[in-house]
Amino acid sequence: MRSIDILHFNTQVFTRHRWRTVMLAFCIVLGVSSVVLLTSLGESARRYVQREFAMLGNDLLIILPGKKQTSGGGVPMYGTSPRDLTLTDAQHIARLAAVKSVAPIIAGNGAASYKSRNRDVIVVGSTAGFLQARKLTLAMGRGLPADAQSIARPVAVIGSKLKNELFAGQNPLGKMLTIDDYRYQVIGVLAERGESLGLDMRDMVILPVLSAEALFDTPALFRILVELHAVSDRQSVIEQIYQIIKQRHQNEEDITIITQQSIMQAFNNILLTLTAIIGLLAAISLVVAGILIMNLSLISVQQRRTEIGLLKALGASSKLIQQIFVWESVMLVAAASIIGLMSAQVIIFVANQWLPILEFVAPLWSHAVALGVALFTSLVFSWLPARKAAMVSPIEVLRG
Amino acid sequence: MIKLIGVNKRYQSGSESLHVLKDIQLQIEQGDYLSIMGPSGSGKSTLLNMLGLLDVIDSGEYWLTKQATHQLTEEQRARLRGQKIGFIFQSFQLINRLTAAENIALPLLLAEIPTDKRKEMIGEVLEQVGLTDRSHHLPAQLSGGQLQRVAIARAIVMQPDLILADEPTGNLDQGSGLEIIELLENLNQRGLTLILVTHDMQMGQRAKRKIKMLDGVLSEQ
Repeated sequence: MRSIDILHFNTQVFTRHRWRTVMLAFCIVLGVSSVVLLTSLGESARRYVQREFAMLGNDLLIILPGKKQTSGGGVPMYGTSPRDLTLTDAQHIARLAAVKSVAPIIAGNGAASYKSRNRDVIVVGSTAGFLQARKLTLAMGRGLPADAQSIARPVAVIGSKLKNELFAGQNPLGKMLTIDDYRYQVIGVLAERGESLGLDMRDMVILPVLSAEALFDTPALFRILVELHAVSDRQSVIEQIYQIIKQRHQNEEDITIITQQSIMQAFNNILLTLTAIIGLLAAISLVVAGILIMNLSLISVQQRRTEIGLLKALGASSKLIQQIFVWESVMLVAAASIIGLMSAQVIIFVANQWLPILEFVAPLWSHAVALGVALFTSLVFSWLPARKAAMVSPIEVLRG
Repeated sequence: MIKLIGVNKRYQSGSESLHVLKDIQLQIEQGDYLSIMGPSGSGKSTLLNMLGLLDVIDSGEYWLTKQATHQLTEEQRARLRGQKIGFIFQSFQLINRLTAAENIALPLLLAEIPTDKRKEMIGEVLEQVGLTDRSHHLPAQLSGGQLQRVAIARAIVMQPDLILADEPTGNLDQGSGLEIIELLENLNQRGLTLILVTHDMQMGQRAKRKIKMLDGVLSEQ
């Protein structure tokens, strides 16, 4: 039998058993589209995180209190060192020739209020270099003063959401904002940016670092952001920073220095693994669909025993009968897989219209995996029914 | 055309071995018309299956158009069956989802005959069995006599040398049965070898050669 005739013959089977065909195809469509959609979800998360870290720039070092290796394990959120990282440490690091700017950070929560309006906010104490290090821009006013690390001026730069919530359409510049028991004059408003590295920049107050020290009553820094000159030898600068800290902290190297690349690499690896795992989990649904194909094909072989016997009597070999049944399964799965891939593309398109920030993209490998697993499954699970069909004895089924 | 020399066939039934064909000797020439008669269980269907290459013999020799079929593989037997033998069954054995023409096309599909040639051959046999106007009908839309005509058309479309008919009139009324037998005899008169298995003595007596099977032993009347 020619391949084209097998295709035509099997198409007639599909038409005749319409519901069985539709239900089987639906399972495959669901499985294939799940693989593509779930991997696209993982991939979009990976790209989102990559974009966020890429915004930090290549020349940024982040110094954290406490010793922790950046390779393996997560990034420490707060220090565990007995010695705090202080503003004086930051000032010593700033003296290095390769360092362009230093932004020491103190962070905490506070209750911000203006007249009768109150809001819990994240308060960050830093210096003028902070906005540049975090690639933040101003919508109005000015940034922190240049002497933010030497004078505790009562000034604040606020996020756009906070401006809307507390000042409700009024120009906040020059107005006095109260955080806990301290009053700060608003000198600038951040441009709209949304979340960055898990912090909602729109709902944040930035104070001079000394003002934040007074507010939280602690000299301990949360981070030091160090921006290097573009031509610096990063590894050598890291070594120098460790030396400075050792000298200042009784010969203890009790800080962790991480680079934008190391964080990005760590997240990239985690998210790639996660994407692959959810893709594989979705692929299990294809195996389940394969088992369904096998069961329904076994029933179909049972129902079509006379037809199989007849084909054998008319000159079909057992091998041809086996081929016809395997083709039947492969044809159905191939057609349903293509529909599944197309459906996934449509859903991704709609999702991108709805949530453009996530930029859903289905990686090409997920299409190949979905199609490959579906076809492999159909081949494996159609083998047994096809073998059973090939073993039908025409003598037994054609009698009577 | 057909030569059976000392053919034996046994079936195992539990612990019992049934000797269903016993030392069969038979020679059939091109254009012969044979009827095989005998009571149920006498071995006539087994003999027909052997002749149709659907089953293999245990011992002896079976020559079909000068080919030693007892030495062929399953695949070779299937090919030879498709080329040389046409089957007609008591219950027609048509595929219900296919039209009359599509049912007739099945042996041609298996023999990989090109589409154009296929249409031509189907048209010719439909004319021979008088069903040209029924080619696009499904089996459910045809009478018993018409169904058997479609089955005959399917059996002769490959222009085989041998037609094996197993109770071809068994499911038909007397009038339709007679028409079918006359159609088969007409094909035989054109040179086709016809072997008919029947319970019906009247039908069997119409054959040129009458063979009787009794307890696995063949005798010619």
